[in-house]
Amino acid sequence: MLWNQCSRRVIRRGLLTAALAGGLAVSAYALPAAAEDAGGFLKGQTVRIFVGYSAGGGYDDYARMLGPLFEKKTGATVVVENRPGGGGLTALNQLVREKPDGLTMIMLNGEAAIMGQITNRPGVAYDITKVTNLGRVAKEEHFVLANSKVPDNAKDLIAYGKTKEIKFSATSRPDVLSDYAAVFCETFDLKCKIITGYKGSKEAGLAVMNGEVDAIAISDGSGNKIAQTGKAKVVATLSHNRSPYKADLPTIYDQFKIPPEKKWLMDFRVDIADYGRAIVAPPGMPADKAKYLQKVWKEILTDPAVIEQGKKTERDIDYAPPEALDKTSRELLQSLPADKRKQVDEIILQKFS
Amino acid sequence: MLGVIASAGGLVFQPAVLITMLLALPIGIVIGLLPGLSGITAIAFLIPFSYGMEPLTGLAFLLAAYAAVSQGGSITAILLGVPGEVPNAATVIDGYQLTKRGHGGAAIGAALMASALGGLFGCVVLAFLLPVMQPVILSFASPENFFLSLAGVSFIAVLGATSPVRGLVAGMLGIFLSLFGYDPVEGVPRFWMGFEYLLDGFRLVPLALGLFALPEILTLMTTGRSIAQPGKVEPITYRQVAEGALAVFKHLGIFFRSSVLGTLIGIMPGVGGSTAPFVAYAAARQTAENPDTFGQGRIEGVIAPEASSNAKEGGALVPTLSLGIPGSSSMALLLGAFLIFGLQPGPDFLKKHMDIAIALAWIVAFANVASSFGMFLLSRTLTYVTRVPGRVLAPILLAIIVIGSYSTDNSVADVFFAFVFGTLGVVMERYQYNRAALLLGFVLGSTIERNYHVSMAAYGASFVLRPVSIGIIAIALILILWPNRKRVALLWRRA
Amino acid sequence: MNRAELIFPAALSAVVALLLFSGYFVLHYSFKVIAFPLLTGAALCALCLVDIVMTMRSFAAQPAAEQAQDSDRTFSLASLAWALSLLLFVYAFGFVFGPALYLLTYLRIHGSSWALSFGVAGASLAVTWGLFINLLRILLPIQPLWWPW
Repeated sequence: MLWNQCSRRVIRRGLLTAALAGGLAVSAYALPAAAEDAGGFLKGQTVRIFVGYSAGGGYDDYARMLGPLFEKKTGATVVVENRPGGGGLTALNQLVREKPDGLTMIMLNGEAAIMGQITNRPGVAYDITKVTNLGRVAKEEHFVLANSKVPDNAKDLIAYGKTKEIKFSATSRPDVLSDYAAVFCETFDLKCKIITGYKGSKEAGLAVMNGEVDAIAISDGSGNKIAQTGKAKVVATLSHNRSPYKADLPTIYDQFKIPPEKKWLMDFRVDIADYGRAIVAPPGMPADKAKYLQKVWKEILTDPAVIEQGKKTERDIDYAPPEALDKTSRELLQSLPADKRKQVDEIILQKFS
Repeated sequence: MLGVIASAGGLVFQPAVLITMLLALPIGIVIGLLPGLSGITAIAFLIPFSYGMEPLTGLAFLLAAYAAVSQGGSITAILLGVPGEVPNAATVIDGYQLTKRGHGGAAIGAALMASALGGLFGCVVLAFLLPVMQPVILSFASPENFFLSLAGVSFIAVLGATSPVRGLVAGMLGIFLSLFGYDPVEGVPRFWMGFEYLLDGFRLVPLALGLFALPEILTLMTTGRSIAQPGKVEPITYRQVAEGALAVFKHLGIFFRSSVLGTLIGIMPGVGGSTAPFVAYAAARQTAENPDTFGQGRIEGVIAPEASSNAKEGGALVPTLSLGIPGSSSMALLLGAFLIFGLQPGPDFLKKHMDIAIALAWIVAFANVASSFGMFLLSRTLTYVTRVPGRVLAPILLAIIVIGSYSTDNSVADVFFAFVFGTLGVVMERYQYNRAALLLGFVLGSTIERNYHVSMAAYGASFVLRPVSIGIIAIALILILWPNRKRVALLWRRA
Repeated sequence: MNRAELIFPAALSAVVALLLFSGYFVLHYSFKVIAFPLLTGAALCALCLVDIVMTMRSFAAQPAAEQAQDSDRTFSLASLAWALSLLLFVYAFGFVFGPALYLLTYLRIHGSSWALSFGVAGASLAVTWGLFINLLRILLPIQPLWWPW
């Protein structure tokens, strides 16, 4: 058949189908969304949750897991918007420019946000002390892991590191891996080399496994996965609390008496972890809307069924109220004297390279 | 071993699983046909629908859609000259030329068959190697990744068919463009000039879409003619598609070489799977007769990249399943899906769930074949697109490109840059600078820098002496010099 | 044609050199940061130079020969203007109505029937609204981009 005859028919059929599909879609959208919990100003609205990373990462998973729960409670439609860039912080920049009407939130990497602001990372255009905190979703403890090239317990590793160089892997300065490595090495006066340039934390983990570097400081969940391969061992827990992944290992604070002139640094970095993964909204939100959202998120994040579901999928929930987040960010950012701030900059960004 | 493979097959070929996969295929195909939307979009979109499913069913659902997307992307690459995903850019080189000569049907047939069989190949290798892969993966560290990406870049010169110097200019420009944004060593954003978007440098999808699509769209707008301009108006038949499919069997050597390359590259977590089709294309060119006719519409130029890019997905499952390290970015998303189903890839996973791991290989294989078949059925209708007059097709394509480039990262700036790179693409097309070479340089540039820095920092200058690295250098040199082997041999004898 | 072919490599090396210069002297990137771009940029400029020399030589060798123009590779300014105008439509009318109106306008002006033009515009609405926004939950901005909301 020639082009003219056949394709005109094909096109007409195709367009008709497209119009029909479009019409169906529009009418489906116009029908009111079912809401289990009546009331609330969000019913029938579209709420966006920003995620500062591409689809598939931890933050994305949390947002997609919690989104439907939020939908059920408020009657809103939740859309997860991935806005990668700037190490997860461009999305925060964009969030603080949105209207504080309760329709936009972010699943935030709190540690990166605070660290970025403290170290004056290029491109930071937010003030974490001014955002509307809605609740913490999760918090992670952090491990130091070491492979068989160096001693496999904290005491011997630290003794080793006083004279011999320990290589850590990281993606860049600053990031979680390099932060904790730098703090660990500085606290115990170790000879360290933090090798940046790995594409992501998984690649950095692979480097420990194949012996390219000696150690890594990483979140406990990821660290546990590395330990399971048998190629590296958990050496220390850099937190105030023991990690559920290695409950028999005392924290670094319990294992060692850290002198006060060094303790402030370890405390500082460990306290940033208290902010964790949090749901945050733009600054300047009216008090009634903020209270409603905070209530909704508290209900979701303290629901035993949700916590159980999170455990099963390795997306643990560890709620902390907005007041705690406010306290953390303000204390960390406002209470640090200028000279200590300079030291933080130097240690986190430059030392041990 | 065979027993496990058989029992895994039994898990897969059940009505519930099969039906779910068949449901996912059309979704994947539609997403694949829309430039700018990738396999990752498909998986991200489908994950919520899979929540209630059994683990294997849910994973089958996601993997089937994912496999179908890459088939769709190949079709747009061949028929429209627009790569659906970055790996499809290598298919554009010869595939689109074939379409312009009226052989679009044959090109599609070859692409579909090569994809289906390449995917099968990757899965077979996956199934057999999975139990023993861990030590192999661990022997590839930063130095090996460095030399691999360097070897990939050297193929750029090969891609510059008509003018090697211009090919190298394009490739080097690609590398230079990849260096904008955060530098891997100190985290300082280079050349961002105060624009938040440029903190991460230029983005791959707007680059690929703009570079390849805009020049074609402009040509269509200018001439008003359709894409395919055969000597006489030929009816498009399934027969042409079938003939193209059979061509794969006439070039089995190229098929196997490309599949092996694809699987190997997929297995290695550090290199990045999007280089596999380019490397396979370059290798096919180097080892064929009359290499200079590549780029003008040779069917081998379609078979090679298609076979390797599907084989690499089977390969990419290997580090994903055996170490929990994603072999590609879509595997990263898939890892998340695993967790939703309560599965935890890693060495433990293989010990406890080897049958599920192999079942996944079956699923990828089946999805490849099924989606190829589905596309085969659609191929005749789709090929009509190439007969649509340019003045109708061009604005539609342009609108699709604009929407597609926004959709990747929800960013208007991406749309803007698609046009910026489109302008660059127009200039490069006009003066015969190879666009695929630029794309390859862009993909590899930052990998080279990272791995060089890490290698020097971790091993010092002696990193070049590692045995696997030397092996890679040797193989790359052989491949590059192969067409000139007689001349090289003469020189050797004289010396 | 001779001169035109030289513009691209010449402009390219100029831009690259300018970037590298400003990187080191104006933005004060450290050597570690600028090292790889410097290496790549220098190689690029060198290759452009080689390209320029070879092009000039090939034209010197055949000054009168008409370089065979691939008739497919024609780009008119009008088509470039039309392509860029889609950006204006999207800016003015958003990602849903912008493409639809653009298609309607373009197709009609370039000789397609009203039926086809409206049909294609309608299909565009269905795809952007129905498929992308509602099914795929990719929130294409419906409002115009200049809307300060």
